[in-house]
Amino acid sequence: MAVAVNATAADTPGYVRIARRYLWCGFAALAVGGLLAMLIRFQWAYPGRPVPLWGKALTPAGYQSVFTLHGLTMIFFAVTPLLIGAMGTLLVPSMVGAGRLAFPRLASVAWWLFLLSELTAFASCFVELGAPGNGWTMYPPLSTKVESPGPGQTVMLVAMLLWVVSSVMTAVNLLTTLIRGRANGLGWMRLPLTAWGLFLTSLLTALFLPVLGVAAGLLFADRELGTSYFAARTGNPLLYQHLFWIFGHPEVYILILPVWGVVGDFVAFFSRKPAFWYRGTVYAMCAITAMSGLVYAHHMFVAGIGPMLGRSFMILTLLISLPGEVMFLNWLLTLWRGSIRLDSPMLFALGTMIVFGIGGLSGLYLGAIATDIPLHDTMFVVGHFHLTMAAATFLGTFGAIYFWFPKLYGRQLNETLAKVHFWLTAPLLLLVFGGQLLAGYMGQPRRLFDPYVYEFLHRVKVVNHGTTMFAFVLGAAQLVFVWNLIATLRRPATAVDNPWRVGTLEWTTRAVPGGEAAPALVVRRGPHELSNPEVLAATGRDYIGQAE
Amino acid sequence: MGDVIAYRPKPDPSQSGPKVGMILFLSAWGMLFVSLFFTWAFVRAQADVWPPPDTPTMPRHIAWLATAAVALCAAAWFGANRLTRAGRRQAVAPALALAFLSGAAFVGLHAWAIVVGRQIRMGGSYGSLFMTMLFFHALLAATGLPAPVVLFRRALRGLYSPQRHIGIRVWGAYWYFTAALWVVMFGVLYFL
Repeated sequence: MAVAVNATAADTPGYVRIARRYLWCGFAALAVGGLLAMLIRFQWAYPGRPVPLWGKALTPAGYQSVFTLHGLTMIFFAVTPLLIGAMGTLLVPSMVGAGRLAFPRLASVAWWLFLLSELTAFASCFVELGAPGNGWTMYPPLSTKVESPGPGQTVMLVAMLLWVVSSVMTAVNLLTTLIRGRANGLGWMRLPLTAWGLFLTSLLTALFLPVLGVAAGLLFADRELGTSYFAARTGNPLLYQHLFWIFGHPEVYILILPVWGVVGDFVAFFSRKPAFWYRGTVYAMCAITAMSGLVYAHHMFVAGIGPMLGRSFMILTLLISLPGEVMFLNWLLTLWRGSIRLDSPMLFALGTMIVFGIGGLSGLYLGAIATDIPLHDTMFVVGHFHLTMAAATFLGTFGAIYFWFPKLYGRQLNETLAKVHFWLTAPLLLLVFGGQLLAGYMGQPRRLFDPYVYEFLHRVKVVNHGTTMFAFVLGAAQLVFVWNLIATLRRPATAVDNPWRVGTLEWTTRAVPGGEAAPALVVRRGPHELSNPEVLAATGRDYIGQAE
Repeated sequence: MGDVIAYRPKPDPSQSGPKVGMILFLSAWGMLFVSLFFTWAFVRAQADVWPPPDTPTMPRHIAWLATAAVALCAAAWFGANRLTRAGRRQAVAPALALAFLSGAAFVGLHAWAIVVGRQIRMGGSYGSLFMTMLFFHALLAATGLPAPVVLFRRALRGLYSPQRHIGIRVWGAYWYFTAALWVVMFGVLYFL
């Protein structure tokens, strides 16, 4: 079968070109966010000491700006463009056999808006009094003009608003392509799980990002237009928390749902088995999506919400783990007695399962009121959300990049280097973020400039020293990927013919710019038709294309 | 091997895609206004008296004029749709011109209301809510203003037929949504 990416740039479909742009924007933000993370780690281990290579020590205000920028950069400008911008834009048209996005011009406008929002966010560092320093949640009253008088916060809010508009545009585009662009015979229950993940993510993006738009818009109005929504005396700062978390908790699923889809597909592809109870996994992902907007107030157990409301949200939070368990068990049962191939994407998928499993279990403690109250605002929370939102999405994203890189550039990344990258990255992610869970359990509050001014936190120093060292090695290990990327891109493009031997449309049909060939395409089976004896007897292969 | 399923002929993506896209686009706008109504309810629930004592209130005549403008705009879109379906091509462009003019008047009236609000010093939570909701609704309407201009030019070139006029249908739906939302907002802001 033919390849999707043609050798010459002019022949490359427009959606592939846009996906590449998102990829590079995401990599740039990942590098910036990663360097900021190293600064934070250094501060926790050696507060007050000059930062190596820079020669200066972080100030308290500088430290606050660093962790704020780190969070905002990673969530909005690294994970989102890599997973939804790059992977979504690349995969949705080719996985459904559309050969193009529903609204190509809209995709282009969305990318330019995204670039503008990313540049605006980084520009906030260069204004008077620097970047905002009140955390990625930007809670008032810390983010009001009284506590954050510099223009940095306002500039960041403008960046957020641009990001919201761009992301909603992308989501509408991907959703329309998925709903209306599917090839003949490609029913919903024949979609790859990755496409399901991207569909549900886009749905949440279209519905819940406008809520962030309102929160950011009202905060902007409070700061610049003289309104008083969140002022302590004339308004109510809690209103912001409600609005932020109505968006914020679905945002967790916005980031992780595509990864769940990728893992669901990879465990089937690399076990050479159909996914166990495919429909169950789809229903579980849909159930989680539906419930994701109903659990937000577990972030506010200590904010003074009523006990009845708190208990309701606790029950809903614990209930949402049930479909998560179904999905996880389906992955395990797909692996069970499979012919497992430990290629790099599979390693990353298995790593994702492990870190997400641990992160998810630690979330149960934060979902129950009795255990959340003592753990709230400690490093335990930081460890939890880094395992689920950072480590799991990081590993899942890189698994996806290794798997679909030939679709982006017509070249395959070096497999040995990819495995080295995995074995250096996954264990260290567990050690770094597991160390944060431990530090939190030992009582270290988050966001402290110098934790050791408190006598009782001296015992945490050894944990922080260890995790900081692990973090530095983890950061350095990413150079393996950079090396692999540069070396691969310097090689001439070679046609790659379905290197993973799977049957989904993006690997087994030619992507035609403009979608002219799409009407002729008839999909005849699901995405995981693997190790079927009849297919083996008829074709000599253990897979068959969805449209064959 | 593959199982046999029945499938319907695919609808023409050039017609059905914009329809789905507009439904999703309006859903996103809808959630934005749900958030604003949530904010209104949150603030309103905390106030003992609404509007708070000594807070100047917005004169209603501007809102009535805005209601008339948006109703005219929605009617113009309805007319453009019906005329296209009836094959009366010459009458479509004037209907779209009327849709643009009444839509622009509606945005202008919102802007006027905001200016008046500042002049009479509507402040505090009541004034903030009033201005913000008006602003976002004006933004919704302004986002839909380029559509009749583009469609007008296409109508002059005779590009619409009774079978193919998806642009008029979806942007008509956008303005019906804008009008319906204004009716709800008018009631909430001025009468509750």
